Amino acid sequence: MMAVLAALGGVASTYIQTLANALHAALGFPGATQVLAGLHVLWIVLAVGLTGKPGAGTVTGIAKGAVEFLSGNTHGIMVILIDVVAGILVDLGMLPFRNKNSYLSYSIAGGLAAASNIFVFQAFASIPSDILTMGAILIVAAVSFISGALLAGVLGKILLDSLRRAGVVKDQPVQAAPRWVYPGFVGIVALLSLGGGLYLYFALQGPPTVRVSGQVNAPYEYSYSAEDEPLLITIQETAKPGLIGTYTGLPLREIVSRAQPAADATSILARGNDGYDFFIQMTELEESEKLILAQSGRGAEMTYSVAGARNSKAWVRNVTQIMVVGRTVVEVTGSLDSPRQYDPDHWQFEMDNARLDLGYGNRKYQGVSLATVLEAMEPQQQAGVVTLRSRAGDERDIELEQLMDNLSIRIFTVTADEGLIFTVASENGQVWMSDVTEIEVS
Amino acid sequence: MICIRDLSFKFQGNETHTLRDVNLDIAPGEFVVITGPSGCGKSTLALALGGYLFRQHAGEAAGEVLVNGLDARVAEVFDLAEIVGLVQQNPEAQLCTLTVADEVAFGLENRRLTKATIVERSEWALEIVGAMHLVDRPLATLSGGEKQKVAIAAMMAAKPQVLIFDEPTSNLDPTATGEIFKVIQHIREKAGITVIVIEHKLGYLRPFQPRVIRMEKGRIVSDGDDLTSFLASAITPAPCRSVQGPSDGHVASTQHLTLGYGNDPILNDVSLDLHAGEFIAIMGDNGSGKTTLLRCLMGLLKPQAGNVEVLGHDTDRVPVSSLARDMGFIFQNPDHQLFAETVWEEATLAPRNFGLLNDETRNRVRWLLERCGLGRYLDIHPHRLSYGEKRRLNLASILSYNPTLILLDEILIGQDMENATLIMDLLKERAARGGTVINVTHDPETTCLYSDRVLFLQGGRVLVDAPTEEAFAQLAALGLMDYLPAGRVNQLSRK
Amino acid sequence: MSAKPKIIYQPRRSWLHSLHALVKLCWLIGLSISLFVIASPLWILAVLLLIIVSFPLAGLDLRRDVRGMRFLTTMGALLFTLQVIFNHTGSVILDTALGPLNLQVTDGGVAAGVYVGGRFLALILMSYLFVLTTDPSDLAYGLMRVGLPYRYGFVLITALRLAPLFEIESNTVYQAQLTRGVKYDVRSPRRFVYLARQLILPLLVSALSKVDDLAVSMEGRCFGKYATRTYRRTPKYTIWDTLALILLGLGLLAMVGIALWRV
Repeated sequence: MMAVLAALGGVASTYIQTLANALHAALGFPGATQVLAGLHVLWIVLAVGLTGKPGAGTVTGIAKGAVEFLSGNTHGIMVILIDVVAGILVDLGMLPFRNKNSYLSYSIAGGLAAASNIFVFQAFASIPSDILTMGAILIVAAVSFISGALLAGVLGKILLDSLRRAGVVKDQPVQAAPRWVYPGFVGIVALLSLGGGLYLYFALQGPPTVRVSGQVNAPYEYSYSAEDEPLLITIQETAKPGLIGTYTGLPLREIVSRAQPAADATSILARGNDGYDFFIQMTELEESEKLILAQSGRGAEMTYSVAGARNSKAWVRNVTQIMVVGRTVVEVTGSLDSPRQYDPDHWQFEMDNARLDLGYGNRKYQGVSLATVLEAMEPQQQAGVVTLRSRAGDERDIELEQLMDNLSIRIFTVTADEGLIFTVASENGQVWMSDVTEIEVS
Repeated sequence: MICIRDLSFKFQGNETHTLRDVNLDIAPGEFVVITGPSGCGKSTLALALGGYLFRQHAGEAAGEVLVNGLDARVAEVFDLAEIVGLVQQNPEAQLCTLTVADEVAFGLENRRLTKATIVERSEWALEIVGAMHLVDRPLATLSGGEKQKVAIAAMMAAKPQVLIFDEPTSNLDPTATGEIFKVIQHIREKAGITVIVIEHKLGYLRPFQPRVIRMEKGRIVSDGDDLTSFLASAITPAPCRSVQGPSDGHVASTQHLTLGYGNDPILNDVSLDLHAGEFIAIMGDNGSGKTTLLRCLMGLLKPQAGNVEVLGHDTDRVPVSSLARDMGFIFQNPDHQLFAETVWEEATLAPRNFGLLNDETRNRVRWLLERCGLGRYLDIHPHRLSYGEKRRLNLASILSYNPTLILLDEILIGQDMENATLIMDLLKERAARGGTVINVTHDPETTCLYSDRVLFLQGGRVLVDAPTEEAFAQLAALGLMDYLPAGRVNQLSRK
Repeated sequence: MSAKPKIIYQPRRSWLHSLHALVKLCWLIGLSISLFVIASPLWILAVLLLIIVSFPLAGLDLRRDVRGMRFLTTMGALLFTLQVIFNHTGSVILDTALGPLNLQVTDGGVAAGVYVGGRFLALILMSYLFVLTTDPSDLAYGLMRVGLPYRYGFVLITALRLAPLFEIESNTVYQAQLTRGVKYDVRSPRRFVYLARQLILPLLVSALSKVDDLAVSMEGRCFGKYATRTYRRTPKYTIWDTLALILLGLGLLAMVGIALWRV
């Protein structure tokens, strides 16, 4: 019996070709190989179903493989391995089922066995993962699984029942195909093709882009492409805690320079997808060869992070936007012994971040305590009130004493769409004044 | 040697008994022929003698079977195998190795004989069937007749005391059939064993003076008929059909049709004209190109040289599907052409595929099935039918859509007289209404009764193409006596 | 109809034909494993060379006797190219811009290409060489002589015996369907299963009907009577087989040795 089925399976390619041609005509494209993977397993499932002996799948698999091998199969000796694995999987797939003669057990066993062929094949073809990514292998395996479940499992069961009706096999009563079989398959196929379609849709999109804008002459959407490959640099971070590792990416200055930054640009602001952003001075950008936009992952799954910056706070993850900014300052005047403009670049090591909503949703902002800033400018004795003035001309007074006591009132750097602005706010989210341009102490 | 008492047997799942109260005694050295219509239980009787029938779950048995004192109902098949050898009908299905030498040695190896004994016995067995020259050949390269000789040798090698032949020649052409019967005669002379032949080609058995046992519906109905008188009553040496002369309606033709490579093409320069209303028999040895010719006419094979024109189409230019509507083709093995799950579905499959299934067709199919004795089985699975019933279903399936050209490939194999008559009558009716029937056959008797033209192929060429009576005369002149109807041999050879 | 024969046993007289089937099988398996274990393009090339030289020595012509050579070379070349394009290990040996494509080839990529593509070719050609020069009966009987239970051995032999028969039968069933107007129009999975059932059921019925005949024929010749059996065939085991085995054994030992030494 096993010999007969092995022989049938061994020449299966003949009639599979017939069906493959039919399918080809229906689908309009060739490549039905995996779609019909189940037909190669069908014979093994039938052997198990007809003999009901444990191990029949494996024996039939070996014999089928040997017949195919000795009839000059194009896979050579590998075909034995493919068939043996399929045979073992049919046996194993049936194992957990108490009622072995059911649509479900045959479908699972057939599906598993059919899906295995792609893994065995990949083991020996070693197609580079760039072409055959794990995702693609899984898609092919899923197609094979469905094929196996339908063409080895369901068809196998239908044939066995047909043989019983025909009186050729006289072991068990015939069961009608449960109603779920075909709708079930259409459903599974639809779901999987939807999933596969979505996956392909995203996989076929290139890497995500990083927008380089702000004070630039040619705003630029950076997206890693193969042409950039020669520019890739790999750096190793050995010291900064939490950041130790190897990073590969394009130099940040290369990316920024493509947007042609304005001559008076002083720094760039890298922003992550969580809204976190941080400054890097143009001078550091120009000088450091090791400052890169590191990338990880492939294709649509690629992410970028700043790596190699001197300030570890500047290692922004999941960068989506780089803004080139010019010198933006707040005029600080009045009763101060050493008044000067507030330039965030000078304060970056004093800054702390806080998560709050400053009119652009809840984000992380960097800010330095206003008290610290004023302290450094040495307020004079008579000074009592701090007046915040906005670009729009609004004014707001705060008692100096109150300000100096409350370190939580900070001047935050906010990247707005129009550029950098400064907002004075408390850490608890209370906004004292947006878009502050001038601070007068009197 | 063999003693059967009140043997009855019913296969599991069957409703009726296949054997009923069979009583039979066969003495050592006897030559027995068991004959009867298909389904009469003669093959089952053979299985009973080998003990195969009484294995677990096969069915219910009653009565007693003694083979050389061994109770076949309880004895091991292996022990019975030392006494009884069974040669079956299909040579393909009873050979299990790849070469002649391995095949003949197979049974001896299983008996754990020494190598020297195996070689000696194999040679003896091959010698006795006259197949020593085949010893080094792979089985795949042998003809049907040669395979059957090897199968006989494989059984003989065990030196059984009883050798049973179950329709050993039904798959063979008349030439090979003649040779197999010579082998049987030789075995009888040399080995002196009991021979039981299950056969309905009784003409070949006349020289053996056998004891003839006739079975019907599971019972032995006669024992010891005189073969000559039996033959005389069974086959009326009626004159062959009067020739109508080809009608004008042209149906198909081939011109210089050649197929196959090299010096030995399967078909070689075949030119034919087929007309409406003709009932043509194609005869010739297996391998002479008969089946290939049919497939060329159907468009299943395309000519390599020359051309084939059927119903106004050049078969090289149109797909089979556009010819199928007006043609019917029945292949040799009925199992290969039963596709549906019920008899009704099967009979209406082609009309449905052709988009012809209307009330008229349904009525026609119903009438056809009734005529073929299948009216009761509409909802039965086609593969449950008996061999003869399957064949009739094949016929009903193609007659359902009234094809113009009907091609038949040895459809009478294994059919008893009653079945054959029914099938041929239906076909004759179709021809009478303008259809053309081409029947590849080895059976001179039915050819004589039904065909009005005979094509005889040899080595891919048309050797004889003439009205039936004239064709037989030409074949007789060529010395091809195996192709003449039994009643004609003496008459024609005397001429 | 192709004039080229299938990749099946071609009886000839050559040293490779005369080697014992099991010795050849050992070599086939041993070399196949080595192709995976020794991940060196040089080794692959050496094996490939050995195979290509063996063909004429076995009285076979790669171009005449091996069907599908074009498929094999195309496939091998494809695997090679994929590695060359996408594998960027090692140092760059070629860096050209082909239109929009920037093609960078590294020595590691070429090595991997030779390895993967060559391994594919070597595996298949080696298999073909084995099949072309080994009588399947010798192989099956050989396996039974060294301990394969004879029931399983005959599963293989019987399968090999029946395979060509089933190939013809499947063709007949297909033709019979054509003549009855069966159209292979696949509109839905259900229809596809229906068509597949229509094609396969007759084959199965016809095949299974042979099971009974075959069982009668085999049991009638005492198949299965004893746990062991004797054999008519005497394996032709020569000094060359011993030498070939020793050579293979040494090679495998060396392979294992080198592998261990590297660790």
